[in-house]
Amino acid sequence: MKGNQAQQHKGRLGRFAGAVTGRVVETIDPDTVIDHVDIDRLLERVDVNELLDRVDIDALLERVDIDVLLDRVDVNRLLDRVDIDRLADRVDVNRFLARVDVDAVLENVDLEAAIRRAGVPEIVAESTGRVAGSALDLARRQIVGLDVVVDRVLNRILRRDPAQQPLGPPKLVAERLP
Amino acid sequence: MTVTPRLRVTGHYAGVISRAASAVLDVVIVLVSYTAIAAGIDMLARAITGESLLGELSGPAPLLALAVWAFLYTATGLTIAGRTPGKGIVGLRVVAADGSTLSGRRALWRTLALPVSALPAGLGFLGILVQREHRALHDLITNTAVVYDWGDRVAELPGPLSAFLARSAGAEYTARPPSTEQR
Repeated sequence: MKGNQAQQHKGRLGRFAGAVTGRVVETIDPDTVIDHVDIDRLLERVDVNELLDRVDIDALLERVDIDVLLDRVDVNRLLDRVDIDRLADRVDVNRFLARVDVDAVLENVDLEAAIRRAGVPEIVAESTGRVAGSALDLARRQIVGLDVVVDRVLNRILRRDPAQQPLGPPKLVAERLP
Repeated sequence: MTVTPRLRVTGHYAGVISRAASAVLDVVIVLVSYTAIAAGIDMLARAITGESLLGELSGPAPLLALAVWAFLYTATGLTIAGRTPGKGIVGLRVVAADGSTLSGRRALWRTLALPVSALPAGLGFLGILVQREHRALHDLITNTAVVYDWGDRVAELPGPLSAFLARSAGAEYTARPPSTEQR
Protein backbone atom coordinates (compact mmCIF):
# COMPACT_ATOMS: atom_id res chain seq x y z
CA MET A 1 0.00 0.00 0.00
CA LYS A 2 2.71 2.41 1.13
CA GLY A 3 4.86 1.53 -1.90
CA ASN A 4 2.02 2.33 -4.30
CA GLN A 5 1.37 5.63 -2.55
CA ALA A 6 5.08 6.63 -2.80
CA GLN A 7 5.21 5.80 -6.49
CA GLN A 8 2.06 7.82 -7.15
CA HIS A 9 3.57 10.72 -5.15
CA LYS A 10 6.83 10.58 -7.18
CA GLY A 11 4.93 10.46 -10.44
CA ARG A 12 2.98 13.52 -9.52
CA LEU A 13 6.09 15.39 -8.43
CA GLY A 14 7.86 14.39 -11.67
CA ARG A 15 5.04 15.66 -13.81
CA PHE A 16 4.91 18.84 -11.70
CA ALA A 17 8.70 19.35 -12.02
CA GLY A 18 8.55 18.71 -15.77
CA ALA A 19 5.81 21.26 -16.17
CA VAL A 20 7.48 23.85 -13.93
CA THR A 21 11.18 23.48 -14.93
CA GLY A 22 10.66 24.65 -18.49
CA ARG A 23 8.78 27.74 -17.27
CA VAL A 24 11.40 28.44 -14.56
CA VAL A 25 14.34 28.15 -16.99
CA GLU A 26 12.61 30.49 -19.44
CA THR A 27 11.93 32.96 -16.66
CA ILE A 28 15.36 32.99 -14.94
CA ASP A 29 18.00 35.41 -16.30
CA PRO A 30 21.19 33.29 -17.08
CA ASP A 31 23.41 36.15 -15.91
CA THR A 32 21.80 35.95 -12.50
CA VAL A 33 22.59 32.25 -12.31
CA ILE A 34 26.18 32.80 -13.50
CA ASP A 35 26.64 35.53 -10.94
CA HIS A 36 25.81 32.98 -8.28
CA VAL A 37 28.33 30.46 -9.61
CA ASP A 38 31.69 30.45 -7.81
CA ILE A 39 34.01 29.89 -10.80
CA ASP A 40 37.10 29.35 -8.66
CA ARG A 41 35.43 26.68 -6.61
CA LEU A 42 34.15 25.10 -9.79
CA LEU A 43 37.60 25.04 -11.38
CA GLU A 44 39.08 23.60 -8.20
CA ARG A 45 36.82 20.63 -8.64
CA VAL A 46 37.97 20.13 -12.25
CA ASP A 47 40.73 17.53 -12.69
CA VAL A 48 42.78 19.24 -15.42
CA ASN A 49 44.92 16.15 -16.08
CA GLU A 50 41.85 14.01 -16.61
CA LEU A 51 40.46 16.72 -18.87
CA LEU A 52 43.66 16.86 -20.95
CA ASP A 53 43.76 13.08 -21.16
CA ARG A 54 40.41 13.21 -22.85
CA VAL A 55 41.58 15.78 -25.42
CA ASP A 56 42.68 14.26 -28.75
CA ILE A 57 45.67 16.49 -29.57
CA ASP A 58 46.07 15.08 -33.07
CA ALA A 59 42.48 15.77 -33.94
CA LEU A 60 42.86 19.25 -32.50
CA LEU A 61 45.99 19.99 -34.54
CA GLU A 62 44.38 18.65 -37.69
CA ARG A 63 41.71 21.27 -37.33
CA VAL A 64 44.27 24.08 -36.96
CA ASP A 65 45.10 25.95 -40.18
CA ILE A 66 48.80 26.69 -39.68
CA ASP A 67 48.92 29.19 -42.56
CA VAL A 68 46.15 31.26 -41.09
CA LEU A 69 47.85 31.08 -37.71
CA LEU A 70 51.19 32.19 -39.16
CA ASP A 71 49.53 34.98 -41.14
CA ARG A 72 48.33 36.39 -37.87
CA VAL A 73 51.80 36.36 -36.33
CA ASP A 74 53.58 39.72 -36.49
CA VAL A 75 57.14 38.51 -37.00
CA ASN A 76 58.68 41.96 -36.66
CA ARG A 77 56.99 42.48 -33.34
CA LEU A 78 58.10 39.03 -32.28
CA LEU A 79 61.71 39.76 -33.23
CA ASP A 80 61.58 43.11 -31.45
CA ARG A 81 60.91 41.21 -28.27
CA VAL A 82 63.91 38.91 -28.77
CA ASP A 83 67.06 39.99 -26.93
CA ILE A 84 69.65 39.07 -29.56
CA ASP A 85 72.62 39.79 -27.29
CA ARG A 86 71.28 37.53 -24.61
CA LEU A 87 70.54 34.87 -27.20
CA ALA A 88 74.07 35.16 -28.62
CA ASP A 89 75.52 34.92 -25.13
CA ARG A 90 73.74 31.65 -24.60
CA VAL A 91 75.05 30.13 -27.83
CA ASP A 92 78.15 28.03 -27.23
CA VAL A 93 80.01 28.68 -30.48
CA ASN A 94 82.80 26.22 -29.72
CA ARG A 95 80.31 23.45 -29.08
CA PHE A 96 78.48 24.38 -32.26
CA LEU A 97 81.69 24.35 -34.30
CA ALA A 98 82.76 21.07 -32.74
CA ARG A 99 79.65 19.49 -34.22
CA VAL A 100 80.40 20.84 -37.71
CA ASP A 101 81.94 18.27 -40.04
CA VAL A 102 84.41 20.55 -41.78
CA ASP A 103 85.51 17.86 -44.23
CA ALA A 104 81.94 17.31 -45.35
CA VAL A 105 81.42 21.05 -45.74
CA LEU A 106 84.64 21.45 -47.73
CA GLU A 107 83.69 18.57 -50.00
CA ASN A 108 80.85 20.68 -51.31
CA VAL A 109 83.01 23.79 -51.74
CA ASP A 110 84.86 24.41 -55.02
CA LEU A 111 88.05 25.60 -53.34
CA GLU A 112 89.87 26.02 -56.65
CA ALA A 113 87.21 28.38 -57.95
CA ALA A 114 87.14 30.26 -54.64
CA ILE A 115 90.92 30.70 -54.70
CA ARG A 116 90.77 31.83 -58.34
CA ARG A 117 88.03 34.32 -57.54
CA ALA A 118 90.04 35.70 -54.64
CA GLY A 119 92.91 36.42 -57.05
CA VAL A 120 95.41 34.27 -55.12
CA PRO A 121 97.22 32.97 -58.26
CA GLU A 122 97.80 36.54 -59.44
CA ILE A 123 99.12 37.55 -56.03
CA VAL A 124 101.47 34.54 -55.92
CA ALA A 125 102.67 35.19 -59.48
CA GLU A 126 103.17 38.88 -58.77
CA SER A 127 105.08 38.31 -55.53
CA THR A 128 107.17 35.52 -57.11
CA GLY A 129 107.99 37.79 -60.05
CA ARG A 130 108.86 40.60 -57.66
CA VAL A 131 111.21 38.38 -55.63
CA ALA A 132 112.85 37.08 -58.83
CA GLY A 133 113.18 40.65 -60.13
CA SER A 134 114.75 41.78 -56.85
CA ALA A 135 117.28 38.93 -56.93
CA LEU A 136 118.12 39.72 -60.56
CA ASP A 137 118.49 43.43 -59.79
CA LEU A 138 120.78 42.60 -56.88
CA ALA A 139 123.09 40.64 -59.22
CA ARG A 140 122.87 43.37 -61.86
CA ARG A 141 123.84 46.02 -59.32
CA GLN A 142 127.00 44.10 -58.42
CA ILE A 143 127.95 43.85 -62.09
CA VAL A 144 127.36 47.57 -62.67
CA GLY A 145 129.42 48.25 -59.56
CA LEU A 146 132.30 46.22 -61.01
CA ASP A 147 131.94 48.19 -64.25
CA VAL A 148 132.34 51.45 -62.36
CA VAL A 149 135.34 50.18 -60.40
CA VAL A 150 137.10 48.93 -63.56
CA ASP A 151 136.26 52.22 -65.29
CA ARG A 152 137.75 54.26 -62.48
CA VAL A 153 140.94 52.14 -62.44
CA LEU A 154 141.31 52.51 -66.22
CA ASN A 155 140.73 56.24 -66.02
CA ARG A 156 143.52 56.49 -63.51
CA ILE A 157 145.89 54.32 -65.59
CA LEU A 158 145.08 56.25 -68.76
CA ARG A 159 145.21 59.54 -66.83
CA ARG A 160 141.75 60.51 -67.97
CA ASP A 161 139.64 63.01 -66.14
CA PRO A 162 136.49 61.14 -64.97
CA ALA A 163 134.52 64.38 -65.11
CA GLN A 164 135.13 64.56 -68.84
CA GLN A 165 133.86 61.03 -69.48
CA PRO A 166 130.49 60.89 -71.29
CA LEU A 167 127.85 59.11 -69.19
CA GLY A 168 125.69 57.91 -72.07
CA PRO A 169 124.19 58.76 -75.46
CA PRO A 170 122.89 62.36 -75.61
CA LYS A 171 119.26 61.33 -76.03
CA LEU A 172 119.37 59.14 -72.94
CA VAL A 173 121.44 61.25 -70.61
CA ALA A 174 120.95 64.95 -69.97
CA GLU A 175 123.90 67.30 -70.09
CA ARG A 176 126.22 66.97 -67.09
CA LEU A 177 125.74 69.66 -64.51
CA PRO A 178 128.76 71.99 -64.01
CA MET B 1 122.38 59.23 -40.01
CA THR B 2 121.59 60.03 -43.62
CA VAL B 3 121.16 57.28 -46.20
CA THR B 4 122.74 57.95 -49.58
CA PRO B 5 120.37 56.99 -52.37
CA ARG B 6 121.61 54.52 -54.95
CA LEU B 7 123.01 56.29 -57.98
CA ARG B 8 120.99 55.73 -61.13
CA VAL B 9 122.74 54.57 -64.27
CA THR B 10 119.84 53.92 -66.66
CA GLY B 11 120.94 55.00 -70.15
CA HIS B 12 124.62 55.17 -69.20
CA TYR B 13 127.22 53.41 -71.36
CA ALA B 14 127.60 49.80 -70.21
CA GLY B 15 131.05 48.80 -68.93
CA VAL B 16 133.27 45.89 -69.79
CA ILE B 17 132.14 43.52 -67.02
CA SER B 18 128.46 43.84 -67.97
CA ARG B 19 129.18 43.30 -71.62
CA ALA B 20 131.47 40.35 -70.93
CA ALA B 21 128.83 38.77 -68.67
CA SER B 22 126.12 39.21 -71.31
CA ALA B 23 128.44 37.77 -74.00
CA VAL B 24 129.20 34.71 -71.86
CA LEU B 25 125.48 34.19 -71.24
CA ASP B 26 124.72 34.53 -74.95
CA VAL B 27 127.44 32.03 -75.89
CA VAL B 28 126.12 29.53 -73.32
CA ILE B 29 122.52 29.99 -74.52
CA VAL B 30 123.52 29.63 -78.18
CA LEU B 31 125.59 26.49 -77.55
CA VAL B 32 123.00 24.83 -75.30
CA SER B 33 120.10 25.61 -77.65
CA TYR B 34 122.13 24.54 -80.69
CA THR B 35 123.02 21.24 -79.02
CA ALA B 36 119.41 20.65 -77.99
CA ILE B 37 118.10 21.41 -81.48
CA ALA B 38 120.77 19.24 -83.12
CA ALA B 39 120.01 16.37 -80.74
CA GLY B 40 116.28 16.76 -81.45
CA ILE B 41 116.80 16.69 -85.20
CA ASP B 42 119.13 13.70 -84.86
CA MET B 43 116.54 11.85 -82.74
CA LEU B 44 113.88 12.60 -85.35
CA ALA B 45 116.17 11.41 -88.16
CA ARG B 46 116.89 8.18 -86.28
CA ALA B 47 113.20 7.56 -85.73
CA ILE B 48 112.39 8.11 -89.42
CA THR B 49 115.41 6.74 -91.29
CA GLY B 50 117.00 4.62 -88.59
CA GLU B 51 120.36 6.36 -89.11
CA SER B 52 122.09 9.10 -87.15
CA LEU B 53 122.28 12.42 -88.96
CA LEU B 54 125.06 13.87 -86.83
CA GLY B 55 127.33 10.88 -87.46
CA GLU B 56 127.39 11.62 -91.17
CA LEU B 57 128.04 15.33 -90.74
CA SER B 58 131.69 16.28 -90.87
CA GLY B 59 133.84 19.21 -91.92
CA PRO B 60 132.56 22.78 -91.82
CA ALA B 61 128.81 21.94 -91.94
CA PRO B 62 128.20 21.79 -88.17
CA LEU B 63 130.21 24.98 -87.65
CA LEU B 64 128.31 26.70 -90.43
CA ALA B 65 125.02 25.59 -88.88
CA LEU B 66 126.21 26.94 -85.52
CA ALA B 67 127.20 30.26 -87.11
CA VAL B 68 123.80 30.55 -88.83
CA TRP B 69 122.04 29.74 -85.56
CA ALA B 70 124.15 32.32 -83.65
CA PHE B 71 123.41 34.91 -86.35
CA LEU B 72 119.66 34.23 -86.20
CA TYR B 73 119.72 34.32 -82.39
CA THR B 74 121.53 37.66 -82.25
CA ALA B 75 119.82 39.39 -85.18
CA THR B 76 116.32 38.38 -84.05
CA GLY B 77 116.92 39.54 -80.50
CA LEU B 78 118.41 42.89 -81.54
CA THR B 79 115.72 43.56 -84.15
CA ILE B 80 112.78 42.77 -81.89
CA ALA B 81 113.95 44.03 -78.49
CA GLY B 82 117.28 45.77 -79.04
CA ARG B 83 118.92 43.09 -76.93
CA THR B 84 119.83 39.43 -76.97
CA PRO B 85 118.59 37.21 -74.14
CA GLY B 86 122.01 37.45 -72.49
CA LYS B 87 121.92 41.25 -72.63
CA GLY B 88 118.34 41.17 -71.31
CA ILE B 89 119.38 39.13 -68.26
CA VAL B 90 122.29 41.45 -67.45
CA GLY B 91 120.14 44.52 -68.17
CA LEU B 92 121.70 45.98 -71.30
CA ARG B 93 120.21 47.41 -74.49
CA VAL B 94 121.76 48.24 -77.84
CA VAL B 95 120.82 51.68 -79.13
CA ALA B 96 121.94 53.98 -81.94
CA ALA B 97 124.96 56.13 -81.03
CA ASP B 98 122.73 59.11 -80.27
CA GLY B 99 120.52 57.02 -77.98
CA SER B 100 117.61 56.48 -80.35
CA THR B 101 116.00 53.07 -80.77
CA LEU B 102 117.91 50.57 -82.87
CA SER B 103 116.39 50.09 -86.33
CA GLY B 104 116.01 46.63 -87.85
CA ARG B 105 118.56 47.37 -90.56
CA ARG B 106 121.12 48.64 -88.06
CA ALA B 107 120.50 45.57 -85.89
CA LEU B 108 121.24 43.36 -88.88
CA TRP B 109 124.41 45.29 -89.78
CA ARG B 110 125.60 45.17 -86.19
CA THR B 111 125.17 41.38 -86.11
CA LEU B 112 127.09 41.01 -89.35
CA ALA B 113 129.84 43.34 -88.09
CA LEU B 114 130.26 41.42 -84.83
CA PRO B 115 132.91 39.04 -86.29
CA VAL B 116 134.96 42.10 -87.31
CA SER B 117 135.64 42.78 -83.62
CA ALA B 118 136.31 39.11 -82.91
CA LEU B 119 138.48 38.10 -85.87
CA PRO B 120 141.66 40.12 -85.19
CA ALA B 121 142.27 38.06 -82.02
CA GLY B 122 139.44 39.87 -80.30
CA LEU B 123 141.27 43.18 -80.54
CA GLY B 124 138.10 44.89 -81.72
CA PHE B 125 136.58 44.30 -78.29
CA LEU B 126 139.38 46.32 -76.62
CA GLY B 127 137.37 49.41 -77.42
CA ILE B 128 134.88 48.41 -74.71
CA LEU B 129 137.73 48.66 -72.21
CA VAL B 130 139.58 51.74 -73.37
CA GLN B 131 137.19 53.74 -75.54
CA ARG B 132 135.49 56.63 -73.73
CA GLU B 133 132.02 55.40 -74.65
CA HIS B 134 132.87 51.71 -74.15
CA ARG B 135 132.15 51.01 -77.81
CA ALA B 136 133.73 48.02 -79.58
CA LEU B 137 134.87 48.06 -83.20
CA HIS B 138 131.52 46.74 -84.47
CA ASP B 139 129.75 49.45 -82.43
CA LEU B 140 131.88 52.13 -84.07
CA ILE B 141 131.36 50.66 -87.56
CA THR B 142 127.56 50.46 -87.21
CA ASN B 143 127.25 53.63 -85.10
CA THR B 144 125.67 51.88 -82.12
CA ALA B 145 126.23 51.82 -78.36
CA VAL B 146 125.27 49.59 -75.44
CA VAL B 147 123.58 51.12 -72.40
CA TYR B 148 122.14 49.97 -69.09
CA ASP B 149 118.40 49.33 -69.31
CA TRP B 150 116.58 47.24 -66.73
CA GLY B 151 113.22 47.58 -68.41
CA ASP B 152 110.54 48.89 -66.02
CA ARG B 153 113.02 49.23 -63.16
CA VAL B 154 115.73 51.84 -62.71
CA ALA B 155 119.31 50.66 -63.19
CA GLU B 156 121.25 51.48 -60.04
CA LEU B 157 124.65 51.13 -58.45
CA PRO B 158 125.02 49.21 -55.16
CA GLY B 159 124.32 51.33 -52.07
CA PRO B 160 127.85 51.25 -50.55
CA LEU B 161 129.48 52.09 -53.89
CA SER B 162 126.94 54.90 -54.39
CA ALA B 163 127.90 56.30 -50.99
CA PHE B 164 131.60 56.02 -51.79
CA LEU B 165 131.18 57.74 -55.16
CA ALA B 166 129.03 60.44 -53.61
CA ARG B 167 131.87 61.15 -51.16
CA SER B 168 134.87 60.85 -53.48
CA ALA B 169 133.72 61.36 -57.04
CA GLY B 170 131.46 64.35 -56.63
CA ALA B 171 129.08 64.86 -59.51
CA GLU B 172 130.71 62.23 -61.69
CA TYR B 173 127.96 59.69 -61.17
CA THR B 174 125.36 61.92 -59.59
CA ALA B 175 121.91 60.68 -60.46
CA ARG B 176 119.53 62.98 -62.22
CA PRO B 177 115.89 63.20 -61.15
CA PRO B 178 113.87 60.36 -62.77
CA SER B 179 111.60 62.85 -64.50
CA THR B 180 114.43 64.10 -66.70
CA GLU B 181 115.60 60.64 -67.72
CA GLN B 182 114.66 59.39 -71.14
CA ARG B 183 114.46 55.87 -72.40
